[in-house]
Amino acid sequence: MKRVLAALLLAGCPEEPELSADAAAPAPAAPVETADATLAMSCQSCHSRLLVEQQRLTAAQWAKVLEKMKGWGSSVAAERIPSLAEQLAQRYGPGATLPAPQRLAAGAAAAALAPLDDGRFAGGDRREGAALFGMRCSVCHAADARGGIGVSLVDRLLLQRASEFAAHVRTGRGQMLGNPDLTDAQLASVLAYVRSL
Amino acid sequence: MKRRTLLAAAPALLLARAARAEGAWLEVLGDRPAQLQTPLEYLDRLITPNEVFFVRSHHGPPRLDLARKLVLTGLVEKPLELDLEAFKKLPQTTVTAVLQCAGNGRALMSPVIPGVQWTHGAMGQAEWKGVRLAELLKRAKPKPEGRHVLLTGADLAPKPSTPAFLRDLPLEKALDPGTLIAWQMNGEPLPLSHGAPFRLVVPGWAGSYWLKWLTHLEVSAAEQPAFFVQKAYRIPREPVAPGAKVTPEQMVPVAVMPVKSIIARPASGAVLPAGRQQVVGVAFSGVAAIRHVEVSSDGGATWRKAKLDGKGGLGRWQVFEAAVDVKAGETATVIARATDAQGNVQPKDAVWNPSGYHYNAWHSVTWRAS
Repeated sequence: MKRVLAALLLAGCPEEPELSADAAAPAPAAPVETADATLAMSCQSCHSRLLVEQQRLTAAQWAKVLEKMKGWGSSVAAERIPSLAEQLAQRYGPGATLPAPQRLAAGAAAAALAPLDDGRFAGGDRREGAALFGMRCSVCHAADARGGIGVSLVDRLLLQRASEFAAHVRTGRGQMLGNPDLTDAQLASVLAYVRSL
Repeated sequence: MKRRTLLAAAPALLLARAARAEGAWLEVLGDRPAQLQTPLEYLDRLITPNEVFFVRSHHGPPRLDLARKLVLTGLVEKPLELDLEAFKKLPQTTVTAVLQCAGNGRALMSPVIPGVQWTHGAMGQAEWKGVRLAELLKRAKPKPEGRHVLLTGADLAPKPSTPAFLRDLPLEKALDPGTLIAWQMNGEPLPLSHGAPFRLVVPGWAGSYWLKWLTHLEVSAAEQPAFFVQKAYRIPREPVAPGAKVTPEQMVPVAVMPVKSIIARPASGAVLPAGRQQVVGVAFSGVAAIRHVEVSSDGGATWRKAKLDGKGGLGRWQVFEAAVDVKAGETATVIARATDAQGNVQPKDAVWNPSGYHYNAWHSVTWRAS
């Protein structure tokens, strides 16, 4: 929850947390929180955190990875890369132990990809969805929904899992702010529109 | 279904059911998109059940759409467009082959390399059914200047600035009778995680060629000018020291899988009853069939041959088994080493390379007899 809050705060005003970290100066905890916030904001729209946590890289290797990801569309700020690379190397450096992999029941792995019934998000109005998308989503996901600050939504598996789609739109993820005010009917319309792209 | 096909499919289906009954599981290395590793305990058999077969992709699966068409265009006399129903009416071929991620074993390389930290389980063997790519090319009639087949799938990169997962298959390998476009895996339609409705099957070559969610094949004179062909999935032609500067001219595509064996059981660290234990695993090579697998209980000083099960072939694994006797209170460490029919011997240490591809060092297990 703390991480989510930090991410939301950062999304709203990117400069503030660094200033407040300096002012409060909680020495050992500050870098950890900063790295967490950056991971949540700049990495986790495309990757799960697990991918970060299994790395054991030097600061130089981390910097190279971050540069590459910035080129690929991560919002991480160039000037933050050196300090972030240092922090990541402290936590996920060459001396770290490879974490034991989590176990997943094979049935659950298959279920995570199965299309779901639209349920209460069925029968949306594409035209209303287009208008909502234009107001709420297109700034980050681009007018054609092929991604920009946010990820591409076209042809995504998530579009076949209406309840998950709705939950993401309502609560947000990473640097994405939630849209808790949207009704089921409105979410159904956004879904119908994005599916048509 | 012909009787022969039915018989061939039966063991896989039975094994798949058995795995379900055991409470089958996978190891999670990433959950968005899914990067799932097959636990070692399932690498003791000829066919890896679909539900525990490793899962890897760069951008995650697209929406499930069995109506997606397969298109063959470019330098051909007669472009093709096929849906799944039309595809099923073409002559069907079945191939049993190992699918292994180029980065399988990356976590075991030293110094450490960025990327998904696979240990052993980014590999599996399945029975793949579909149409030979050569058969489609025969119908489309490539023009003489065609040298490559450019591959596109339906999976989209998350952002416009992220490279799409586009790949390239040299025409010569595309025409190999082992190269298929598959729609079935172990007697079942391809699951979405394995490329439904169509994927490539390129026996002997690394998984990066086995493109999933395949939609478009384009015959071209030039190699695909894409990141995942020109920059990624490349390895130095000659070994380099970690940290050494490598120029693009020194790099070649990661293609043919080197000879390798893995011990599935006993599990390392186990405490087992004193006496005889069967050491069981799989061995394969992308160059040729396996000639033999040897095991050593003395750190590689002496070796003896293991028993091999299953049919041999290029890029096809066989199961090996060797009995090892251990007295109560003693600890056994057993190493396996495979040799292929061309005489390539699995090395004690893998060749380190900047992206951690083709790990194939000796695998050993240690257990204590109680």
